[in-house]
Amino acid sequence: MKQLTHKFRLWIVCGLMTAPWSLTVRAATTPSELNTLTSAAATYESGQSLETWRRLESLAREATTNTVLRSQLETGLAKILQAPATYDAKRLACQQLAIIGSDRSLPAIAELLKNNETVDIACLALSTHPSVKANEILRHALPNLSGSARVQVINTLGDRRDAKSVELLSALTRDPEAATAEAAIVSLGKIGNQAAARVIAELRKTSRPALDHVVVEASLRLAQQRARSGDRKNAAAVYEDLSQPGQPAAVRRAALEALLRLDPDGGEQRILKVLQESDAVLKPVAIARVKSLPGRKASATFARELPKLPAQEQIWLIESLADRADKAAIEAIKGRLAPDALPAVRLAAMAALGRLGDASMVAPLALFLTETTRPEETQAAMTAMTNLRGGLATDQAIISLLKSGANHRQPIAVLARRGSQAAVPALLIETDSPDVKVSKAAFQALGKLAKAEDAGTILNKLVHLRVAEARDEAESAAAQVLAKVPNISTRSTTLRTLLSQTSDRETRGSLLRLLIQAPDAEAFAVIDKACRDADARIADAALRTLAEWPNLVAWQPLMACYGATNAPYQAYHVLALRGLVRLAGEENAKPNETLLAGYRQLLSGAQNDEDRKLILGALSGVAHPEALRLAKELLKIEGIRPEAELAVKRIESALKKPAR
Amino acid sequence: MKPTVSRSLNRRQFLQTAATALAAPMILPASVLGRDGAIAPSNRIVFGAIGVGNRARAIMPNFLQMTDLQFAAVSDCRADRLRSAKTMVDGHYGNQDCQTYADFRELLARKDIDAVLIATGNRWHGLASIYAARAGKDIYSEKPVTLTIREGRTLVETCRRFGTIYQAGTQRRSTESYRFAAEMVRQGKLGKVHTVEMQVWTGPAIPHEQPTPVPTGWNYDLWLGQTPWKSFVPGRVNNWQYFWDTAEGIITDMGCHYTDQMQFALNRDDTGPIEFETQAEFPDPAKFCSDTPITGTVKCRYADGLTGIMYQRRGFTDRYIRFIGDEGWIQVDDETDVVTAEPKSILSLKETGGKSWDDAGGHIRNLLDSIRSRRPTLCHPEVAHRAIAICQAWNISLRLGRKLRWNPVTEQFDVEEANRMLWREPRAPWRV
Repeated sequence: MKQLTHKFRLWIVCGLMTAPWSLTVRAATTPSELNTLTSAAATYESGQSLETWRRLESLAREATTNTVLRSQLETGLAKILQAPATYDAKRLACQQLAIIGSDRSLPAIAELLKNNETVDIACLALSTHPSVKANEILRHALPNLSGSARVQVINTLGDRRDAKSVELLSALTRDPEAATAEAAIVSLGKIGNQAAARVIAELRKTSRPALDHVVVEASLRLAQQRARSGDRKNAAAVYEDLSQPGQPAAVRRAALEALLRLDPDGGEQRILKVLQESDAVLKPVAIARVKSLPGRKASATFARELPKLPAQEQIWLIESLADRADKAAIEAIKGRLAPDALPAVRLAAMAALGRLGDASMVAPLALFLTETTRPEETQAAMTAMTNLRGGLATDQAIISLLKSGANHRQPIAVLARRGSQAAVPALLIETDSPDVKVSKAAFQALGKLAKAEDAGTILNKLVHLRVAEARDEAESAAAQVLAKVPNISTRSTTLRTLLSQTSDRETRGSLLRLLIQAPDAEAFAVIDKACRDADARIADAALRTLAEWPNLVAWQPLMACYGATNAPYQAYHVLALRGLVRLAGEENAKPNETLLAGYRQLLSGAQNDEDRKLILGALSGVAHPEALRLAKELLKIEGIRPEAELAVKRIESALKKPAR
Repeated sequence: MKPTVSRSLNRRQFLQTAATALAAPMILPASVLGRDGAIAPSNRIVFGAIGVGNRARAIMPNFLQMTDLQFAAVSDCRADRLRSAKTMVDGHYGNQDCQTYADFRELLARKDIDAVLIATGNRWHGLASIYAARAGKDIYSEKPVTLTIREGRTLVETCRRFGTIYQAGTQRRSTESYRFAAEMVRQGKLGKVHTVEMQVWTGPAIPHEQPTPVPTGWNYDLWLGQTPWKSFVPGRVNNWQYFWDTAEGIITDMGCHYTDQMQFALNRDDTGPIEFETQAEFPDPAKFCSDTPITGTVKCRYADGLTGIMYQRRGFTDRYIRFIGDEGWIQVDDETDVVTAEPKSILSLKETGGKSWDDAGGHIRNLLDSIRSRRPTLCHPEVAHRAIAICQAWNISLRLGRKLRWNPVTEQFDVEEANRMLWREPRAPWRV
């Protein structure tokens, strides 16, 4: 940590050295230089160079730690406001004064408040000004303004929370111009002192209906401030009023939320009352609050309410109880798995239990799985079981279902999804299950869960397969686990040893196919030989493996197969071509004579247009003039012209790109 | 400042939570379905869109695929975009019902609209959200959610005051790849995380141009909104992302996705860093009018020493976030959505598949469910504000050219000038 901190400090130093613009900007330190700069800056308009302004901004940064410069710069910026400068220049000056301005520049900013067109930028400078004199200037300007400029100043007084403007603003709340009255009411809400509160309270009784929304807004703001300052009684009175049915739904919801926060019991009694009524607007708000209720008893209280509610509200309450995550909540949710509960409620309960439960929930969920006939409930129960906390203890509880329960397939799938490596021994036993689906599921899980050291055991299961229908799954599991064995040679030796010990055709076929996971020279020799095996099924397995072989050693045997005219190899023409095209395509990035000769061989061996299309697909990725020539040759063949044109275009495009 | 200790989910809980977030709504078919099996109109959440430019066109199909919502209106200050959005919505529903408004306040005044999608330019996200909340609407707002830190705090307060359900468009919280990375961090698979590295792309520089008349069909004053008035310069208007007044550059525009992930993964949603420092390269002011970084490196540090570093460099497709711990790291490549990690065994815990961030369906689903249940969304206002405040603090540090210390409780800097940059007074009539 100390080292990190040290590095951090070093970085800070570097950072400051390359701070924005500072390297390219020469600081102007003399008043005359500054004068020249500000004179030039005053003429700025959109479209012109911003160099001068960037220099002034750089000086403003420097001025934050240099009082002399700050004074000079502020004077200069104030001069821009006074001069017959452009609007853009005045705006930019105000933006800087908003950051560094002091009382010194206030008179110049005040002048901007006399012109409707510059009131907005004056307020930009004044809004964050630390001096109370800024408030005085704004108040002084207000009576002489109208329209948007007046609204601007009212807004700024509100944003500055200027308590002394309450009287001024109070008068404006009755202004015939709605925008002015609205702004004044909102600003009073922001100021929020006793005097402002009295005005707002009066307006709630007497304001014109068109202003109701801003009176409500100001009331909510005031109530919020009162609640924060500990004045619960007055805050609650406002909220009670605003939660009544005559108010807009959003206001009622907001008021209820606030009341619940204010209630000494966290809102428990009020929530119960809302639940017993039929106010659809407020019920969700009340239910959502259950999760935050203090005390352990709350869960039990609301658990009792669960069955009384309509289904949708039960679902929401289950989610809220689940957020509480205490024992009473869990028990209540568990109760909603009962057969008499509505299906959607049961689904919600299961999802919640998945979030909350541990090993103790395995048995109820397993029971549920055996009883339900609904696919969505089965899925939900499995997901819940997958999500259960409790780590190994929960895994063990699920594994124990394999020993006792009748249903094995679903627990096996859950164990796989949980990534439970503790399940591997039990799963190995399950591979022998007479139930084909269970055996298949066990192999699927093993493929995911077993480690490299389990490879021998799983291969042994494959060699001595008890359930013939599970061969594909067993083979797939073995392939996945073999892929985890780091040494290719070890994989190859293991497989070849098993092959030498096995005479069963099916098993030999499986082992040959698995050799693709061990593509060394010895494995290839076995495949190459097996391609000529008298047993057609063995030869088929070997030829298919050959077509997938991942390196160029397979090229010649595949080419022989591709060009063969005798049975059975003729039947493998397309398979061989696919393998060859794949191997060629993988070499496209380094086109050389060998590769191009390979493509020529492929083209000369093509038996039909489909073959040529396949070859063209790979050839189009070769950025070489000879490849282009070969592709152009194919333009002459009517049936593949579109593919040839595309290939030509791609090759030409690749040839145009500069070498990188 | 002690970070909030929220309960860390284990992987299974994480998957479950993700499934909950992304699953179909927990609603009762019997009570909400019409006779033909479709969602009854009375049970649909009625939406309006505020700002229907490029981003809206990208995300609205994700909204339209939800059968329990209906778009009833769109608004934009540009007539061409209004027409185009109406065509899209009407085309989807096969009718001509979508109403158009040049001024979003008219849309907000409609009592039948329950919620709004806000996909304006950045300058409007926060303020339009505040107006929508005051009008009683629930909200999906694109990011960056606000223009200044104080506007962000105001957004939080306003939504709380009006009980608004709000979802920020930082949809990576609903994306499997990012959720997986966050969960690995929380489960301690990387050991103690000490650094979060983030990368966004090199920014452009926008050349000076002479002002032109405002094009026909634009309400340019409304387009500017709360920002100071400026003449219409096409390059500036069309590249508003690269100007302080209207946005805050790429570190904010894209960076807030990553600061959001940093806060999310590290359980710091209601707090923030305590220190910010920055360096950047800016456009040459003689040639260019844009004023946000081209390249840069910005850093922040939390109270416990954890450091966040964001680089602005290289290309658009090179963006990523990487969590680095003392026992490993995990990275999400944003362009491809590919997760890489060291040790690689971490990746074996990842489920295959899952939608990328460009499908915001799960994030929208979370909002719709919350609108009905009134439960907080994944990216509620406090979460959203805290994430963007980091970028905004970096920007203030950049503008002042100095290191800043920050108090995440009082939301104040240790430098007066920096505190004066927490806020920019909106141009009237706009107000928070």
